[in-house]
Amino acid sequence: MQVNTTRFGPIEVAEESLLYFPEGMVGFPHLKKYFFVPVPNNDVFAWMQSQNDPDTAFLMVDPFIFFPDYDVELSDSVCASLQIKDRKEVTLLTVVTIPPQEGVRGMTTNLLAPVVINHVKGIGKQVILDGSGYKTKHLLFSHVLQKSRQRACG
Amino acid sequence: MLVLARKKGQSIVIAERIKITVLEIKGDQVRLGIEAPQDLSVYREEIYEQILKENIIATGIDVKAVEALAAIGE
Repeated sequence: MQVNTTRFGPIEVAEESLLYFPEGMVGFPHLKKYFFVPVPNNDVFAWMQSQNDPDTAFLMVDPFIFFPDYDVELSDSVCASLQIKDRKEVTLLTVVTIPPQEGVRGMTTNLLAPVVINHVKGIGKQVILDGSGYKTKHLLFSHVLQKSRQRACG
Repeated sequence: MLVLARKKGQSIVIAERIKITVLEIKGDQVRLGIEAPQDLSVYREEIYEQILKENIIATGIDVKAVEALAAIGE
């Protein structure tokens, strides 16, 4: 099927590559179907584009690349709702934001609410890790910012 | 808004699927026990609002901003 998107133009999407979010993303309960659009020359990030709303896409990242100690414990109810039987079925990504002033160097990701996907079943859910101590903004390139600050101080 | 008075140990039932029980009352804080089907997510409102706000900011990212990623070398 062809899907219109604001950022990427019309895209041909195979029905079986659609992910179904029964509850949608937090704040977007009406948008339940998403698919991935790769970021050119970059396999750490990917766009998760809504099938129903051309404007809505989330930039996602594999958080374990930037935060190797990131610890996510999925509750039994999350595993049940995503029909997860084996951890191999799970893809976990987090949502990225870019502050307008700093651009990509100031990119943060939301470790408090990862997106958990059962890629075998094609279903996903944004999970809120309440009580985990994680926040909605964790700086991805903290070392890059530190370096540039050091340079700025001579 | 429906307003109900409950004492410690008492519950309310919503739509025959959700049960909320007052577990403890201490000063201005109430501890609630929530029994709900697994397909229903239950959040503290302020946490939910925080995630909602972050998601809305996230959907505003311009594709051009991401192209600059290639410029970040290690």
